[in-house]
Amino acid sequence: MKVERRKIRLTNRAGAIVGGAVLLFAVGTNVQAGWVLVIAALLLGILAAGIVLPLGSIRGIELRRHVPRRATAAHKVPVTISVTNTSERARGLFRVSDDFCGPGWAVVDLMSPGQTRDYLGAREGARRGVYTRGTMTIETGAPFNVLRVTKSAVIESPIIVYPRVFDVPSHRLRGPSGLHAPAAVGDVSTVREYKPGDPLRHIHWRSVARRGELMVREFDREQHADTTVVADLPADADVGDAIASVACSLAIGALSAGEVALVSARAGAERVRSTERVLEWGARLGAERPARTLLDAVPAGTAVIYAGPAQTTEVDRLAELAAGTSVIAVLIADGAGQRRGAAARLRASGASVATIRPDEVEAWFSSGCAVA
Amino acid sequence: MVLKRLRRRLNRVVADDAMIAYRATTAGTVVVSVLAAVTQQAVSGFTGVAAIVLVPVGFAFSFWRRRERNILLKVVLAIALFVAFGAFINAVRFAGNVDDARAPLVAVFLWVQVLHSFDVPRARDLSFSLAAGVVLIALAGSLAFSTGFIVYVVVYAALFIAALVLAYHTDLRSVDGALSREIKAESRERLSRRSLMPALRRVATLGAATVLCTAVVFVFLPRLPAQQVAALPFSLPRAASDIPGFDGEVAFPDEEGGGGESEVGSSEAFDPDTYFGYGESMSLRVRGRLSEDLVMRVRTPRPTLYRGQAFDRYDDGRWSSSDTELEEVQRSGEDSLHLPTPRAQLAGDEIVQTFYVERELPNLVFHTQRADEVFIETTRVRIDDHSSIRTPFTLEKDTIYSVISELPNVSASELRSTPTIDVNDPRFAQYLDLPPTLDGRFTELARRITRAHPTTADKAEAVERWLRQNKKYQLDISRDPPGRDPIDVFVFDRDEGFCEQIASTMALMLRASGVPTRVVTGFGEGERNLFTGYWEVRNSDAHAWVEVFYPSVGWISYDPTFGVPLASAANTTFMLAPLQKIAGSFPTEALGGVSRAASRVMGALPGPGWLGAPILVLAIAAAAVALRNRRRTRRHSSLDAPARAVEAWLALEKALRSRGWTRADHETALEFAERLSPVYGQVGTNVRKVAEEFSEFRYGTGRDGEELARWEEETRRTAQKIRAPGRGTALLRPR
Repeated sequence: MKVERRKIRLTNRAGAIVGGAVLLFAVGTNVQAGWVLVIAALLLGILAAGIVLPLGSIRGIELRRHVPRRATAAHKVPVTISVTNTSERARGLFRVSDDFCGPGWAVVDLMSPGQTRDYLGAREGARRGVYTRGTMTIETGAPFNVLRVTKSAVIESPIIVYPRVFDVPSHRLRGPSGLHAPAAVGDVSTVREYKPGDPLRHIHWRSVARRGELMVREFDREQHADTTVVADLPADADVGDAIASVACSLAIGALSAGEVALVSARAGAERVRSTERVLEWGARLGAERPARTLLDAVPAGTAVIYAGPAQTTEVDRLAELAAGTSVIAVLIADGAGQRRGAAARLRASGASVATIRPDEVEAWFSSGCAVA
Repeated sequence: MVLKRLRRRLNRVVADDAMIAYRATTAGTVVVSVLAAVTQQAVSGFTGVAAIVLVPVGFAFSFWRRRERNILLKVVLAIALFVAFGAFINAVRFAGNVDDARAPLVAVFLWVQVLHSFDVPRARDLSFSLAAGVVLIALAGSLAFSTGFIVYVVVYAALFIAALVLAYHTDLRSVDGALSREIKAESRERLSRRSLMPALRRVATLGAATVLCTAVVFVFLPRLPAQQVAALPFSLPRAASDIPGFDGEVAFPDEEGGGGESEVGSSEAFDPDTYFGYGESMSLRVRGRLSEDLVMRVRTPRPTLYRGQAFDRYDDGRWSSSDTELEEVQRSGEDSLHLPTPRAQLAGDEIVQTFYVERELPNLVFHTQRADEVFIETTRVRIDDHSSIRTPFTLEKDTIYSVISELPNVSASELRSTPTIDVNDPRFAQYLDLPPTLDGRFTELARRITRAHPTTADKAEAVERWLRQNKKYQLDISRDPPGRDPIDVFVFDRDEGFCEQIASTMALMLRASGVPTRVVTGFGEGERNLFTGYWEVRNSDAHAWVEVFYPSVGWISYDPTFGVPLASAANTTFMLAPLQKIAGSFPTEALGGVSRAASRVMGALPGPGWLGAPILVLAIAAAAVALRNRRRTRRHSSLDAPARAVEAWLALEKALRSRGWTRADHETALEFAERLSPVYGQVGTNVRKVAEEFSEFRYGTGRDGEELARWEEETRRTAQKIRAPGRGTALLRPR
């Protein structure tokens, strides 16, 4: 454990003890009362011992942190703090603090030489991102809390925290007004059960008459209009996390229909087929700005799902895209006044727009991802 | 706004943190501090018992109600606090001085503790209890003058330290009121022997470190003289009855307890419990060692000689007072007795001393020189021409009295500048009188010693120097040949003598040289008890010294015994002495028989027994010290006389530096001594004497090794006296 920072400070209790001792010394001298001087000496002795003892009381303490390789934002992350006493003396009565994946701390009682102790905590409030290391702090004032000695060290523990994702209602993924509208071409290969969102023209009436339930034709080649999900993150972390959540949730929903193109300022455009890749993409999203416009990376002829801030600068480009393809824009507003403006302009250009606040993301998904 | 805040505070529900151990230790500290205050009789028995019972009850009640708002309880406690404070104000209104206010102060703090113990829901409330406990035990300590108080201090310290550690535990586990967020992953194992040892070692380390730090701090804590803020005097009622027909005679306590005249002083029989220097006369033919009984404790801003009687008439080995018609001094409506001011006074330093009598004593009001005011529970005292104060009752155990004196503060140069007296002045006849039992050779010797010194101060110093160079202090000396004057025998036939002989010789030699003198008896300053701060005076501290009269100044004390070297080393072995000192420091009142038994066992050494370990440690330490001393002695003996003189002088300079006196580069040793002599009292005079001889040893020739060794010893003792001020030493620093 490499100590990065060491801090020593006297506490208020030290001041109180010194004040009391000085007062008793003055009184004891004044009335020539030796026992009062003994009490004053006791206070100063406690002060001296309380200053000397903490200085070496955390020497030889090694810290480690054990975390899972992957976690999801806003879910509890199990973090284990591992404390080892590598010294040849008993150590203890100190506190280990760690802000990795959320605040957590543990109080360490007396430890024998060579002993290791694990403290398990479920950290709340982990944010989306990729982390490799974090600072752990060990603090002691033992035994009298007149001097606080604090040591900080950077501890390696890689973890990727995925953005929080929500289920997208299936009718939002299919159908004419869906996020993903397939187009049938070629010969009929088979007949299957009807699913909400299937075009009515694909119903196979003969099979319906024979089986008594709605059946639709499936074609040997069904050409889907490809979907591109664009995540445009601003500097605001809360808004950024909400955008990542929206983008990843919709991308995962779109994956059920095939490949999805993901566009971000950090990674450019990439095509993905698996949920895990989408989540990793969402964890790595950053607030960088592209040289020109983010939407230049959108492959031609694809439906576009744009997740970005309400005050986005991509309004003009989105409006252009909306003239030629299906565009759905989910704008995250961190202020009430931001709900207007960009959204109105996009709607006028034919795009479907939803404007929500960061704390409304979950509700938006559970209410059916309404767009207008 | 304030009401809103108050309501929010009252409505706040306290976090459910039991802190049982912290509560218990805090309650323990409070109980011990209350117990300490009660045993010092700072409060009445009823209050004490009530407090001792109510404090634990209060803590238990507070624990039970810790989650409640307790608004009604808070109101009741607030009212009770007002009542307690009102009682304190009422008591203090009638207090004559700060000392009288101490007992009510203890009482009010005690009630604050009791009431507060009913409402200690949070950690910070417990902190307040701890702080108030410190104040209470300190107040009790200010009233304690017994070493037995150490029992309370030790128990209190242990609980206080434990409470501080537990407070830290509590603090460690709560961040913003929350409890620990991490759970120890491993199962909580019971303390096995393996895990118990580190815990015990840690507790031992903590205890040892705290005790060591406290001891070091206590040793190095400066013991400043309380000259700037003198403690005010006070007196307590006495139990003894007045001596029937009291007309000022010295009376000794008899077994019936009523007090009565005694012939102790006039007899030549020695009683180890009663000093032969008190009474109608003092015989120099009496021999013997006085007992080590504690006779009184003295609270004084600086150590002084405590005079009891003075004698001006010497005849055939016996001192007596020519004044038999003692003046009566009566209290005139005040708390104190104002004494008639002695003639030829110069302003001095006011000094307040309080005497706690521990064993019955004669009816003498012991005091430092020039008593002005006496606080004692009587309406009248008698005083003779020599400022010997007599009470109409003998001093019983537990008698307490205070005396305000004006200690002469006059420099050596001022004394030298005073004119000599007219030897024919009839006022000084009694102080110049020489007995016929001393023949002409005594007078001739005295005049030879003082001939070269024109002033009274120089004469006195010359006689002191002669005594120092020619006599040694010894208590066990043989009886004088019958028919001869004890002083004649001491001066011409003996090399050794005791303080009465040394003082008498100086007084009579100065009389022979035309200087008025008288011999004073009383007690030396005793030994300071580091724990209590009181000077403990034992029967064996009974002492005799000389007062010399200076026109326009008055009587000035000289203690010629101080400079006289000891005839032999202490009558105890090298190893036994410190052991006996340790045994003597046991809290005898508390441990009683155990301490006495320990002393007896130590006295009967060798025999390891349970004392084996400490004896071994002491033996190792003693061996180390002996080895170091041997090396020093070897190195020292290899030096020549000038080098030895320089070494001794440098040690003295070092001691003076520790008191703020530094010799300037351009100053010679003598110039340096001359500079500090006028303002450093008796020690300054001693330094000057040492400096005078230093020049001879350093640059002169012809002095023998024995003289050098004596001078070195004297220099060492002077340095010791400077570091640890003793008899007649004022702790002055350069202005």
